[in-house]
Amino acid sequence: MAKTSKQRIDAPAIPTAELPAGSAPEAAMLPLDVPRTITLKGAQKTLSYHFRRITAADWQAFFAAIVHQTLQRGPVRETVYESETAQIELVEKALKSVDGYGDLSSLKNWKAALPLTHRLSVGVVLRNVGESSRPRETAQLADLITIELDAFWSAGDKGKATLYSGLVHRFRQPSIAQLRHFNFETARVRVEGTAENGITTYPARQLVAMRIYDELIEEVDGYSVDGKPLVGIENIQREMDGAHKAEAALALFSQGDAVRVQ
Amino acid sequence: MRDAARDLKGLRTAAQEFFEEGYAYPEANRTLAATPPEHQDEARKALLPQRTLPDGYYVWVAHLIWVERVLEIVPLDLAAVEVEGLLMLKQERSRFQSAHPACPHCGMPNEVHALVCRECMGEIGK
Repeated sequence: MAKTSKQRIDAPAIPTAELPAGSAPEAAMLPLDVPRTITLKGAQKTLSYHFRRITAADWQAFFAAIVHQTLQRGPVRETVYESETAQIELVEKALKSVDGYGDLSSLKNWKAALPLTHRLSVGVVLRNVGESSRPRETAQLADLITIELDAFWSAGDKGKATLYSGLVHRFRQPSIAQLRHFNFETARVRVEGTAENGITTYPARQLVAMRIYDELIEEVDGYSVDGKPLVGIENIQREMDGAHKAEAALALFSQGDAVRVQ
Repeated sequence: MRDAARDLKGLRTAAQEFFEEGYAYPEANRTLAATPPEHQDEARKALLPQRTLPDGYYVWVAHLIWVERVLEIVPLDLAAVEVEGLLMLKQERSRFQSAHPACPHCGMPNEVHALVCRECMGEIGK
């Protein structure tokens, strides 16, 4: 767990990340290589968090740090999904600088001095990506499987987050061996105790998903690097954000869930 | 913490309980369909056998059953831990099937001394 400094710094009590009501223009592409800035709006101040680019290794560490368990205590069953520690660690690791807190040069560890609630709010925005809210079309028989994601992303110095809708990932059909690999890895759970008083710890599905993404991705739409559309399998494998890889690949393996026999 | 996939003793128990659950499901589902939503949890506990191990064992057994089904259609490269699990699963399925022979009419497992199938009501055991 990240430690917080006892030294207080000037900050609004309850910040909210600045998320827009609107979304990106149709033709706008999500700029993967532009450093991200996230702005928090408090009652009196605007705070900006400037990040270096978040690498695949950062995301792997993030997903590995998420705790997913089921706990059975007699008749009470509880599911634990704890990602806050992982979010704080990710923010601390990738944060380059902040604006709006005044002079931080006297602090030994300025990152640890930042309010925990602020780091959590920023962490939520960093990983804000999910399968598109647009209803998925009934699966069509095709060589490639299309997954669409929606994501908030803020780039450049202004820190205003933009909603990018319908970010397209096209995959080759997974082989049975790949499906088996996914099932194998995600079923490798660790256990302790009994049914009455036991713990099951699940592996991070996102880590497996990131690897499978690289094996199956064919093309993407809606992303840019160096101002140009992201094309080419190797470029996509290298440049695509790890959180987007994980979400897209997990959605790939949940394909067909919406189909019902009439 | 232990790796459920490597604990064959625990997996054996989980497989037995998994088969027993499957056996109880058809009748339990019929009762549950007529049970009000607020009593569903209670009814489910009463109708289905209780599990004795943490969830993780059943997750791995479910994976083994999936692998077993796929292997009926296509060959698959397996890890040693899956092969060991499949051998155990096969033994436990044979044991379960001996104790619950399939109805010659509909294939539903029944108690070994049953004279009438609990699903199709066809005569068995003659």
